[in-house]
Amino acid sequence: MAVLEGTGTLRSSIISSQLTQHAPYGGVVPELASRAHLENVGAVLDGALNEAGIALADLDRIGVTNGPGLAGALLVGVCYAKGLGLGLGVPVYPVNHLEAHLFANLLEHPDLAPPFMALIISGGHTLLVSVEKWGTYRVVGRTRDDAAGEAFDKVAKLLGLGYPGGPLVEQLAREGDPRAIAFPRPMRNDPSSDFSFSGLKTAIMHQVKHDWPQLTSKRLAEVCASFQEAVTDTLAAKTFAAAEEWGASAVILAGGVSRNEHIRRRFEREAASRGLALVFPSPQLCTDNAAMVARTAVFHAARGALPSLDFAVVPSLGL
Amino acid sequence: MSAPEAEGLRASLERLVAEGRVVPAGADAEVRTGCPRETEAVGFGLGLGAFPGAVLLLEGPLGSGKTALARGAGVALGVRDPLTSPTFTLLSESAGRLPVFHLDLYRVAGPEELRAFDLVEVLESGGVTIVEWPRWLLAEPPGGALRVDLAVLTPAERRLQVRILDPRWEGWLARARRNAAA
Repeated sequence: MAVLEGTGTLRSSIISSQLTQHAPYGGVVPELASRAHLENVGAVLDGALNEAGIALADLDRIGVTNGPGLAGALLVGVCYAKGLGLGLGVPVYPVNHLEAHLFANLLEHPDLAPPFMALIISGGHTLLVSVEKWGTYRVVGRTRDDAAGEAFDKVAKLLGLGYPGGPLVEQLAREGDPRAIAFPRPMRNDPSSDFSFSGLKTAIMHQVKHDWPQLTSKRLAEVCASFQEAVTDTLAAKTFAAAEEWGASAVILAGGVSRNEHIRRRFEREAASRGLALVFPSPQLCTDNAAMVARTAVFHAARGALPSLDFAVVPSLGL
Repeated sequence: MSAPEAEGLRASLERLVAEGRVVPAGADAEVRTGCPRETEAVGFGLGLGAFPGAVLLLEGPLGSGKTALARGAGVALGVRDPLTSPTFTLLSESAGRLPVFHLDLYRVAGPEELRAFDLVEVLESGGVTIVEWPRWLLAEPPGGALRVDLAVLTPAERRLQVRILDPRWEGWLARARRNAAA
């Protein structure tokens, strides 16, 4: 939960796992822990209000994610927010999680103005979105199989680094030569803006089987670096081609995978060589957070219409 | 369903049958595929042979073709956007000829965590449920189930063992081919 003042002053931002890491519920998938969410939600709210130094009655409006996601986890947030809104007599805005990832950029770059091409890359999503103006989106490309973050996590698993292990792959890749192994770039030359990472994952699997008896730490670093290079190549090629096709003046990154330094550096170089602006959030705003949800709610509030309290959770909500 | 997409998969499925790569074993079958596209074609056949309440349990290691098979089933069931891996999202629902639920239990630590899925609601919705990494469901498979075990033979080739766990699946291939021709 987060407290946002105006359009850009973040007074607090609390992630539930920060409070509960010493009392894990036993599983590995936070989204499945609806009961734990229900138990924590009050403490997280108190934490967010305390850190912001305000009282409950100081809130003017509430934003809450209503999709996409797992119904049980979404319901905990939506029901709590509605109860709070009803009690306080303030409006409650349903927020699309994917749209919120885009708005994460606006928190730190308040002058960011469309049209731009946005690449949302996370564990569950890989989307290229043409943003004509805030609130008007056209999905121009998406993954046909695995999401970019999922590819990182599954490669980590194949390499025996555990799951999820995307950040570990990035760390090991720093020591390796990204041109050591020519992994495939699926869909790289396909005329569509779609992505595919499943074939790349399979190529890694066979490489690892081949190398396993003498998988030295040098070789491991080469596999990680070459894999990361293949993903980065594909993401950059597709994104900048789409930016040109749709006449974007800027490219923005969003989602957990946009924390990846290698991807950020490549996008910076490509953007600079084309005279395009490039914007991405700071790492804590790339991963899922409430500040971006609050910022999105502020945008919808400024557009005028008061929301009705009878909105539902939409697990398969798209942009 | 995009017509060219379905037409391509129908042709691949017919080729697998014509080349004798679908080997019946009683009511069950074994299929050898040589590329992801052919695995998708088998899924297309299973999607066409599916019925309200059908469940596809897709068991096999990383990179064996589970999501490719699911995608083919999705095309046959007329979903608009191609089915993608639900490993991270855990459960996705698409509207098609029947509602299609696509689950992935890869990240689910044990049977008790399954409760968070409202699985009973999903299974009794009259849609088609496709489950990747179904390990927690294999001991007591739900009604309407068909199980596919996918094995990696070479970088390109896969062996798909199709096992019927509910009699309503009997004759699925003949039914699929009739539906595809219609």
